[in-house]
Amino acid sequence: MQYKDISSVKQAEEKLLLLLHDIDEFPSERKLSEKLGVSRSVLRSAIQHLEDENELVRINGKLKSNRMISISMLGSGSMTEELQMDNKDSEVIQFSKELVNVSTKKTKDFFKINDDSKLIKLIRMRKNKGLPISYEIAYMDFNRFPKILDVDFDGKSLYKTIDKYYSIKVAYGREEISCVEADEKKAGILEIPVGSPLFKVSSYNYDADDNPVEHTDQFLAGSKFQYQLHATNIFDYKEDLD
Amino acid sequence: MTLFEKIAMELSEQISSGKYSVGEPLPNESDLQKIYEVSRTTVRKAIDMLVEEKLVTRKKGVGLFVAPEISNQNILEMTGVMKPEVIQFNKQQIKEEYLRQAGDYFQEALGMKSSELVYYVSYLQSDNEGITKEVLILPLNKYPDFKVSSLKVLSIMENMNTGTQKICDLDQNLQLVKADHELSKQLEIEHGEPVFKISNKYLDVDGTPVSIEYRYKSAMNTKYIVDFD
Repeated sequence: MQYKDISSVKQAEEKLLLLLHDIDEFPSERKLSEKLGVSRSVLRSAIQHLEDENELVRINGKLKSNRMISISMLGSGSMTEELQMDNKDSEVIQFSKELVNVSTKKTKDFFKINDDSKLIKLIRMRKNKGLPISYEIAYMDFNRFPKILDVDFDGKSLYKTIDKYYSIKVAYGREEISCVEADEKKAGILEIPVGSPLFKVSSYNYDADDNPVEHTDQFLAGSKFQYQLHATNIFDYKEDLD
Repeated sequence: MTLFEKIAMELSEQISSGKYSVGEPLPNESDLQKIYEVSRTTVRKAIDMLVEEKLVTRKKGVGLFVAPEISNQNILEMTGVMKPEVIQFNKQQIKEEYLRQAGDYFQEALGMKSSELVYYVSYLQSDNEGITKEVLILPLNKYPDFKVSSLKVLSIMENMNTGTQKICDLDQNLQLVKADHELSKQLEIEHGEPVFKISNKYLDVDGTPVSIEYRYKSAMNTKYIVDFD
């Protein structure tokens, strides 16, 4: 295989990536190009690419490291725990709670219910330090969890509430991660431009007896989150059997 | 007979009767879960039995799994009667392949000297899930016998394990990024469209980084599945 010198743009990019760890706000373009020893046009290309890759973000014209929130992929399924939101900086706000009919076949299959059954639909958002984090629509079987309809979820964890009233804990589940563009409503709530890419995380959660507990569609700003996984012994990978 | 033994027996009968033939995927775990109306744990136990009897093979793979189609790195979806050689390495197109200096960034990421050499390989792979762009960073001293041609024969994970240091663990990271000019052309999407970027850092038994892989896929028509306990 042939040897190739690293292109100047890529070099600048990799230098910027290293700086990201230590710097929150970057100096002016002029200072930065002197520091890295590259031309300003090279620097601009490198910055543009890193903005596309969500490593850098421009806020009020200032170039900053994009500090993303990491979510563990094989986590507990509870966003409160995942986002370590058991602190005073975070809040959960309830928008609405109502009884709805089953809308999709997938939902019906998951809850193992018929067309006449009612679901509790709970719409909430999370904030951390006043900034919007996520927009969430949770569904539960009304027949199974009628008391949930009367709970005010402002500041409350869904899982803790279910545990408190019904002594049921989520044991395992499945998440589907896809991408949607923010419509006007979601963009407004998450305070991002309309059309911004969002992680759509649909989770289906079961208790230890294999009964469905709840299904949530969650929307997270794509520029603010990353999913992480640490897998061990990947060559003899096998699910743990309990 | 326990429930999972019953299911295992039924499946093995269906395999021998030819309902599922060799090289053909079985229904995945969640389908089996629905068919038999049992828990995932039960399905897994049944499949484990069949694996032990060598009736079915689990494809190795961890982490994110593309759904709902069968993919070559999906353990949960790939509970298939699938021989490795049946895996389709459909259209693969090498875009870049060269040796370069690690530089300061990969010096830190891979724990090597900045002046040491790494293979830089990027290629596009198209299959029934669309186009994937792969970028591999392999240190020359850890992959002295690396050949691009082996990308056509082995899965990424197996390729990553062809070096002098055996792979044990994986750090994986999923982000939503924007397609720049080059990436949008390669993935055949619009400039600026969202792309899922997966960064995989492969580690040896001591947790020392061995190699790095970046994987890009158009986000608007990709879905990943994660099962958690």
